[in-house]
Amino acid sequence: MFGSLFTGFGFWDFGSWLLFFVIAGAMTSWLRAQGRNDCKKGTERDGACLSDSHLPDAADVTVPASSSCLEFKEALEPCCRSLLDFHSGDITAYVGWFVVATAVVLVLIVL
Amino acid sequence: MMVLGFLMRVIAGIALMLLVTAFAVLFEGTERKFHAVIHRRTGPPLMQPVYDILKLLEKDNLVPRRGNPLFFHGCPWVAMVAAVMVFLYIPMGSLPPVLSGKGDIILVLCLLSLSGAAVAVGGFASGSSMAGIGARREMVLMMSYEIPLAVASATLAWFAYKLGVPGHPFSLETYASTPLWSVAGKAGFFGFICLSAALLTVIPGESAKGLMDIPEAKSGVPESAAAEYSGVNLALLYIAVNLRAAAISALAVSLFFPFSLGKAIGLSGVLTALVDFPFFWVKVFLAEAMGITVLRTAFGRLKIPQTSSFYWAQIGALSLAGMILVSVDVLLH
Repeated sequence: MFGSLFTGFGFWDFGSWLLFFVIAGAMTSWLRAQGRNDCKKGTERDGACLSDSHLPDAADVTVPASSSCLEFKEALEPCCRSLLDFHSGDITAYVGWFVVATAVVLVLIVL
Repeated sequence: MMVLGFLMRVIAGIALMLLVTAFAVLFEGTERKFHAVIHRRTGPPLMQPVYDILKLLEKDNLVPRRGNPLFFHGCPWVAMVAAVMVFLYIPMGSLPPVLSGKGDIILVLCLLSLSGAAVAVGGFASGSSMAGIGARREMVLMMSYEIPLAVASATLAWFAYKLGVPGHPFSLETYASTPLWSVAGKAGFFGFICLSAALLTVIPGESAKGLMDIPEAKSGVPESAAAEYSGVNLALLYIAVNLRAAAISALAVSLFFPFSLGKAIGLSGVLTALVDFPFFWVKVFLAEAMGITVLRTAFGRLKIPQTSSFYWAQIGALSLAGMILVSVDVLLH
């Protein structure tokens, strides 16, 4: 096939991937075509609701991007806090961490 | 000859994709029945997921007023296509994958992530605040279980590379032809136990079922990425989720339990393949039953911060312990 990628360890043949993506897409489209593709227009059914209570649409509710990982940050709060403690503002400390991290990476590479 | 080989590969691919879709849906029925039996209930019939899909095909296909129709319709399609394609790269027993030598484990993980991301984007594209919450949870769940999944995959590849196991280190066929348990020492053996246990816990996360039933939240308010979906789009999402559950179970089996029953009982050639193919699917079902049914019967649904903490702290530590033990084993070799 064409468009093969080989990194020395990993490999991916883009041509065969694309071919089977199209085939799998055709099969999914066939399944999709078996169902109805219509709905009554101009009714209240296309609005967001929960047990007959109308909810504000997403456009009317402003959610900051930072909220997208709210629970994730909450779960990892102790870890985040300890990481923030590293940010002392002292450039000598930053260079020290850089040297330590490089040394650890080099040891791993040698291993 | 080359054209014939190409055509055979296409036909085998189509047959396999149809078969795994049927298996994935039937596994869901079996899993629900098994769950009910543990509870001493009769439970739904085995074919209930098929009836559900047929019912959904008869329903209206609503698009929310504020939704983006292109992404709203396109994402369930992408989710199912990406999930079903995973099986083309997974060896099944002694049978090589349909796309043998055409993609590695990184590609399999990318396809699984693409399927999950499509569900999340579909939720955001529905323009509903409730679906947005579900989509956000789907993203957080994905970020949570990627750590043990990545550590397990990278560790196995590194182990295979350092020990000179024949084949590419990132190829799933390498693990199918040479089970790594057979070349590992004591430390590596315990390391693989840790890594396989970590990977089994990823099954409910990847399929968002059981104790990780968070984005869909069947037992909670409809804060689901699929909250606004109906009809055929919901049917596609339903199939995609079941395909992902089967795909991650199949990945776990081919990495850690690739043992051949045919070879064990002294068969060879086509007979080995005929025995190993159903044996592979029995192992996949057992992995799915272990990762989903047993866990969801034993535990309630976790909150999303608990899930992140569970995957990053407990399971992350388990997979790191596995990685360290395997590293020690490599050093001792």
